[in-house]
Amino acid sequence: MKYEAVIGLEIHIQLRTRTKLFCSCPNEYGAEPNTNVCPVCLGLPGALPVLNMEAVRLGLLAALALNAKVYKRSQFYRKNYFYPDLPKGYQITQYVGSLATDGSLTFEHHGVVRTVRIERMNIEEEAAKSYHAEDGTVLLDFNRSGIPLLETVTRPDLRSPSEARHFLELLRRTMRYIGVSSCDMEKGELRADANISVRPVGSEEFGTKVELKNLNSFKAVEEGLTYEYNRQIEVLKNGGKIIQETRLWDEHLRETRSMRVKEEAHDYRYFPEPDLMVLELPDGMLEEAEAALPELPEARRKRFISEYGLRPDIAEVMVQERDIADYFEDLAARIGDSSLAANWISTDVMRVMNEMKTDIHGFPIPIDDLAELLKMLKKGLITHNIARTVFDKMVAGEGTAKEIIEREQLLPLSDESELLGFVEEAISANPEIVEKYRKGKVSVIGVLVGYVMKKTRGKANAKRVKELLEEKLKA
Amino acid sequence: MEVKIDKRTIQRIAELAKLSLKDDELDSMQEHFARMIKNFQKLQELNLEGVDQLVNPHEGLQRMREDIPSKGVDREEVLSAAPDRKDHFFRVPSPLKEVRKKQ
Ligand SMILES: [Zn+2]
Repeated sequence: MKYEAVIGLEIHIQLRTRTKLFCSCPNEYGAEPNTNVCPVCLGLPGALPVLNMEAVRLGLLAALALNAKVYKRSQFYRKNYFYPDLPKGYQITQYVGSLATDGSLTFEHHGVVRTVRIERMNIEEEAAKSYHAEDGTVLLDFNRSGIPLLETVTRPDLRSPSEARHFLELLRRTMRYIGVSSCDMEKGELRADANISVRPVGSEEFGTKVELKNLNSFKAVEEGLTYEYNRQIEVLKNGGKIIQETRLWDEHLRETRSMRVKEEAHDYRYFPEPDLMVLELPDGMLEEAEAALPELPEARRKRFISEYGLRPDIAEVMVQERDIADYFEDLAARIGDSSLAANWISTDVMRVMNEMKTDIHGFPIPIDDLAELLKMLKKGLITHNIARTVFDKMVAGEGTAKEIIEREQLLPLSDESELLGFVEEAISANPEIVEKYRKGKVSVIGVLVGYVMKKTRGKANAKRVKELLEEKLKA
Repeated sequence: MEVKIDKRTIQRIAELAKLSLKDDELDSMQEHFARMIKNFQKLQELNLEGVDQLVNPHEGLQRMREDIPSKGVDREEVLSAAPDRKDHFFRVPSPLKEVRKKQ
């Protein structure tokens, strides 16, 4: 029997606000422990939460980007449970009155169009960060406590671990595009838990699902789900039953294992947070968010293919980051050649960014300088090899394209008589090649072109060299 | 609609609140709860057709604040008020150990 996976994701996205959700403490990563704290985020008795408008605005942007239905009125609830990282004894979250529901994200996975439905999107507060000390105690840092989160829950619409990874990558890219989160998984700004079950292909019923936690990277999402998918099929094939439980992915042992802690049945005893009133979106807030929504990555990818005629794989690279996509469109317009722009960005520019571990803003060549270089290349004023050489020198800060070319005398030999001298030299120095050419093996002319290019240190225009050689050899 | 509160329900509520109650305490709690439920049942008799759900007794809507950071409280002050600390962290017993003990 063939099985398929049924996967749903519960995702937490840290919103990129300046302050926390319910207090004015800075929302910053990497600060000294317990320096961004106040009575509200420490959960001291009597402290009252005051909602951060920016968190709501970012939540709206995210909801709109996922085509979700946004509610004019929503409500905060208390989710009650005891854990050291939550000293109030409850987390303030949205429950019955979500910020938004019924969204979706559509993408192409291995050429198949897939739509994943988003069940709900809620704004809620982050818990403190706990560190488990060797002596068994827990150390708490409340800098993270109260940072705004956007909880995003999908329907069980994903059908394979690789699809789940692809979805999550696109979700990340989308959230980065609209600026609601940096979604750095290493910093915990994007976290995903998964529900996974398996069923025979063609079946409409769901199998018993397992909740999978500790998926801390895209790789972990795919590998953890793959392990669990295979494990569940193995259990069923051997006549066993799947137990509904929570399992942890262990990246080192490369397996999932039961948490084994007797799970108390979830009973969070939600009730409306009496310290917060009903949230009614102020007039114009939703409309402003709609107006602020940029073109989203999937739409942009499709447009890059149709408008610029980019190859699908190149288009995919160009839309990975919004800044890269912007840079590409800017550069393409400046040089009037989109495929030349895309090729240089996807190879040389990205190589340098990788080497220097920087983003496009830290790329050392100003865009008009790079455009100048590529325009010279496009016009045939310099050869591709020279362009590469000049590019490297520009990266090293040796000047603009024009300055470097002039200083190093890299301009091509536009002087025909000088070029002819090299052509004649090539012919006289390679009598056997000339012989072969004259006997009809015309492809050997490449050797002669190569000879001239080498002698001129790449400064000759290869096309013109070939023309001159042909003229000479025919004579 | 009659709601019965039995001893197991009281036990469950106590567990969720992390309270360990002795047998006679459970009995007295059961009585308290029975009385409360009775009062709510009285309320249930009211005809509330067409009346909106009251989420908050206060009128008005949520006021929001601008996203402008301000300095919190002094770290030393809050840490020195805590029962236990290590360096710049609050220190608490492991929650996992407690679970293990219970099992
Ligand atoms: Zn605070």
